Amino acid sequence: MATREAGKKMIMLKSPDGMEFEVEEAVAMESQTIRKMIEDDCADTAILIPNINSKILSRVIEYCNKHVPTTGATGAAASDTVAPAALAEDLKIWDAEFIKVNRATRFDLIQAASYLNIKGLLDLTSQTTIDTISDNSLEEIRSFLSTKNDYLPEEEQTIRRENQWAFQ
Amino acid sequence: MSSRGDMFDPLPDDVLCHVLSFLPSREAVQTCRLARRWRHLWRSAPAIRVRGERKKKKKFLRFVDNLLFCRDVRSAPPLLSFEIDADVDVRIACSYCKQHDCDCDFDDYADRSKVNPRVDEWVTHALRQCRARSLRACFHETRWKPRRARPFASPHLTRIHLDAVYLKDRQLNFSCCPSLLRLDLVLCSLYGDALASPSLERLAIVDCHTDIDEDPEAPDERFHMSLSTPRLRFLEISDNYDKEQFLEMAPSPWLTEESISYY
Repeated sequence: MATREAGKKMIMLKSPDGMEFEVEEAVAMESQTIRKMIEDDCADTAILIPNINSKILSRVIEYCNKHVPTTGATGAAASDTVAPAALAEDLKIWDAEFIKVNRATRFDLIQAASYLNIKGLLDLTSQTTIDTISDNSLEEIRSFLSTKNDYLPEEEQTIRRENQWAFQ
Repeated sequence: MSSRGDMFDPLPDDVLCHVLSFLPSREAVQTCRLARRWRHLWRSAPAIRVRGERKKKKKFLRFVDNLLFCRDVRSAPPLLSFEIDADVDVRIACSYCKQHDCDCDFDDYADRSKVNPRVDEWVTHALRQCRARSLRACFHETRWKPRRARPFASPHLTRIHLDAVYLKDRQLNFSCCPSLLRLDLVLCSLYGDALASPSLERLAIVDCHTDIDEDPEAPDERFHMSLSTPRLRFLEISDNYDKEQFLEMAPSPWLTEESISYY
């Protein structure tokens, strides 16, 4: 495994389209999936990340780089209590810029965050998606998600009746 | 799954549920009409967020009852978060004329109303059956007085936020929440000698009051509930409380002057 600076272990991530990304182990371990591979010693050489192309993978790494806890914070007590308010505010602004991407990219990021198990990124992408569809009509949401209504008309009636308490 | 280019097609159901959990619960249930795949997803959404206004009280009660009791408790993963913001007061009979609707003006408003007791059932169901990890309960003019002696008992709860809740004596003992890490008390009434939690790391007591506040005999002891929180690392308190007093209590070896913030 490549070691660049003293104390900073590097990890190689490979996308299916053949690109390689060298990242600090701590950054890669923002992904619980990769963390598990490293902890189980399955990460001797490069780690192939299936289904995530280099464009999306580089964005994910960019996110992890920004969100990796700064040195000094111990990983021992993993409660969400350490970040001071100013730092949290800075991250929020950064996140808002980061997520200004088109719809397709955002869905790719959800998929990547889900596969790599990066909670912060999954929350960010989910929240942004919800903000976009919230307050829209059913038809608008279907069109946004490119979802086709596959209910038969009578089924739709049943479902409405079944969950009437939610439509009042 | 269809292959008609649905953006969510490649995502597994649990990720869809996660996305759903960012919607208020009413809208989350309404997604059942989108397409077949969505029909039952709301039953496993990892978060419940409900908000009830005074004007639509009846609908709200019916909605939350259905939402909680139709939830797929057996197969759904534990609830990550249960959030309720409820303005659902019930009138109490006047202590003078014993009528519910009178103009006697004999009691204070707070004594003439209580939060609907359904709330107690909901919280218990969310904690016990749905195994909620985080609870956020906000009330309004009338404080919620939990009826159970240990309303928050749960091996799963890691975080509690209470807004306008009345807690008394044993209810301030959070030893029944062995995983609790964070407790925020805002505008609460706290009547007891000690707040205890063996696991708590972060505590906020903001604009709360005790009977001591109003004791004219003891103007300097504005807040003297003791803390029994050996693992506490961060404490936030409103600055109407006595800083010295809090430090003197030294409830935890981790707590320093720097880790206490005042508002």
